Amino acid sequence: MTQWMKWNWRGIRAVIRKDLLVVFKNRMVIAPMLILPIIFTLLLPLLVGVLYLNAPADDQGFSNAVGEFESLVQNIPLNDTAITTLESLKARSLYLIYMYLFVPFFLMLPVMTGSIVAADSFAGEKERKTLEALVHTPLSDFELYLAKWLSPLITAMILTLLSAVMYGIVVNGVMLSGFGRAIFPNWAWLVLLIWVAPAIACMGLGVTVWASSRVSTFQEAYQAGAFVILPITILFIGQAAGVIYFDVVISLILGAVVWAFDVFLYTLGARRFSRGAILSRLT
Amino acid sequence: MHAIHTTDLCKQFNQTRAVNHLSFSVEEGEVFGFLGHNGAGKTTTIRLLNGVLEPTSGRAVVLGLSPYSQGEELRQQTGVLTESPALDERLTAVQNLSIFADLYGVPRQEVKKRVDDMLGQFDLADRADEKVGGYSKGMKQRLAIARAFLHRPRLIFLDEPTSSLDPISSRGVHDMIRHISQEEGATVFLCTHNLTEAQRLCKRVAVLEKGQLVAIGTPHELGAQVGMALRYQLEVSESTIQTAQSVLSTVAGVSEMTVDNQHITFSITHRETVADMMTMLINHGVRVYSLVAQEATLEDIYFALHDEGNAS
Repeated sequence: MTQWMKWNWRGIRAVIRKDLLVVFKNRMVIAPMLILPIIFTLLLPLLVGVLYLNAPADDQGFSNAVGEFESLVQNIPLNDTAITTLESLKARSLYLIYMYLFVPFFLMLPVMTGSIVAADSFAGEKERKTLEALVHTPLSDFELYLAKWLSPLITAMILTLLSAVMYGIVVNGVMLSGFGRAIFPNWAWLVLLIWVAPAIACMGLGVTVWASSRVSTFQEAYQAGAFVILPITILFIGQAAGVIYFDVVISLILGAVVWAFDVFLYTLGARRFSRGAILSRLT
Repeated sequence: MHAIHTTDLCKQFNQTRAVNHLSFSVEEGEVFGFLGHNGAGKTTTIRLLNGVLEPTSGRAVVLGLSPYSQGEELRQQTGVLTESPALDERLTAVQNLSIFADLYGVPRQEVKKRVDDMLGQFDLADRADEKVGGYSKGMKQRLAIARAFLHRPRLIFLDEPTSSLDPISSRGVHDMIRHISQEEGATVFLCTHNLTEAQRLCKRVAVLEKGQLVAIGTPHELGAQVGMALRYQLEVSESTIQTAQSVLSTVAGVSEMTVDNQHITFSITHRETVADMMTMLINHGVRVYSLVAQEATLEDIYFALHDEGNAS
């Protein structure tokens, strides 16, 4: 029997269930977690689509703005042949926006939505004075740390995948009504959602959970985790400037690198994690 | 067999020695009282014994296991009531208990019944599906105790179990402690400020001062240890009171004798002398109506030990 099969999975699931129940019973926590996906993956793409489809053909300002995208379209990976089948510049630029420029939102989304649960993982328990009961349970330090890492990750990925479904409906709705084509998802997006986004979420949330185990309050943990958003923002800027385009191969490589880093990060965090040290900081 | 055995157990936090060379044993099935004021090291001792903290030095064996290196296995068999109830107040009582049933590995098919039984026993059944945040302090404490008993542990650490309970609830908890000790054979490690509670429930008690064990034994043994002699009140017939006084004055260890009507009150150093003393009185024709022991209470002993500690 391999080591991971011997872990107390029932106990780990119980901690995850507890964390998710506690978080989802708090409206103050749910509201910001839902607002972000609604803005980034529903309202914003819908607004872009509506503006594009309803822009008058003779609007010079709009035509100039769309023309700007033409240079970006030239940089799109050659294996993305779908764009070449779109005839109008308007359709191609909308394709570029939906299939490339929105990518960083989906990389940021799991980290941003999950970080509330991650920051709450240990620091929230300390504030609510519930941590002591938890550390007296039979879970090992490793299992407890794993459970606290999985809770935000699961929350984040559920919200991200639901957001992706919502996004797909908006994108395909706009493209179908305007150009008679459904474009979402393609293979690059699927790899991104299933492989890259969880890896980046795991990294960002892992740092926040680690911070949460070291500080005393939810607020401190939340702020400490925020610096993880920075490198993702850089990716976003790179994407927008046409430096990095995610295709299947780049996504697979990027995901593998981040997952390898996640394993390192988890091992480091779990080894340094001690229930006794957390309690000592409480008293 | 010992449920708990410690040898020179120490825990140091920076400059503070929270637990200082603690050596004691607790028998299996015993209700053991652990007395001490706030900050004496009681909670740290529980954490050390349950494998939550690593000792700085010394050794502990709990239920035959090493708490720190076999912590998971040990904690499967122990239940803990922490100083604060440590309940998730946004969850209901049923959710709080069923999550901990899973954490402690209660057989899945038994979880619902076990949770319902505990809520019934602790008089919480009618509010089982309400959020714990709306409970009174006493109800929260009862639920936390139910959670500690839920998986039928072999050893239970109770940190101030009745501190926020009304007298009726306290009596219920005392009955529960007696039940799990006597009927289920569980060992109870009871940290308390409530000396009356300790006297009622505990066979033996230990007194902790600044992380050090200052006394351990039955309340009677502790009384003797701090030099608190036993007080007795003897009631005899008026006609034989003079004889009784004469006889008592010859008994070894009897002192501080006072007479009031038919009552003679006196101190005696050894309880064992009482039987011989009675034989002597009867042999001398003294008509004894009653003999009432006025043992020093645990409270008297505790304060005597505390004063002794401060003086030294």
